[in-house]
Amino acid sequence: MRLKRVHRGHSLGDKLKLAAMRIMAGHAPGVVRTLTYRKEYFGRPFSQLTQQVMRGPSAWSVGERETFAAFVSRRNQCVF
Amino acid sequence: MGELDARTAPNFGAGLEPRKGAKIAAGASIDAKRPIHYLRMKDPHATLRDQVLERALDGAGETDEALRHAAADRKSLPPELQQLIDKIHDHAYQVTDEDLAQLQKKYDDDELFEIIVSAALGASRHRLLAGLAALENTKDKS
Repeated sequence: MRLKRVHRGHSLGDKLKLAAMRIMAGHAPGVVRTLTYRKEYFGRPFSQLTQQVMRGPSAWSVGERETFAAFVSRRNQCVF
Repeated sequence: MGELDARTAPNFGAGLEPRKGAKIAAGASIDAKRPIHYLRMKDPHATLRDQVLERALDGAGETDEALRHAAADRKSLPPELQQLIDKIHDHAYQVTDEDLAQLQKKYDDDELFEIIVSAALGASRHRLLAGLAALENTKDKS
């Protein structure tokens, strides 16, 4: 993580969640750290949008939407 | 890529017609009397999308709103930020530790967080508008 405060500057409650994630999954991904840092500013509204787009009512199935996301990430050379 | 003013374009696609004064990507001309194809479609995500953008650009933060808009719109930037913002808009995977290390001499992490989020959201909006413009052009040719 290039911004140390985004890596380690979470609230106590979120630090506990990230610690639990590290224990259960082996690590807390950077995207999770980013979405939980100052989440009122970015993470919470962005997660609400992502939830609606990826899992909300749509003409596209969840699998199709995941495929779109994977394709876009691939074109952006970003691990999905 | 055409011009985008994130301050005036956030509700683009929210309904059957763009918000008054909306500026959109070059080539994506809007005729409110003849809504283009994609504007006839219900867009259930526009409201939340706009809320994300407005919160990031105009919400309470450590940086001036004008700076966040500059990062989103990729114009009127302080010279030292130009390279980072260009990378985020064009090929974010090319951002390096060194890019941020240089800027951390002047900006703290919270400021850079806001600048980066704003640039990323601005870049995504540019691409969305470019995609919608492509749909319009396809329709015009069909």
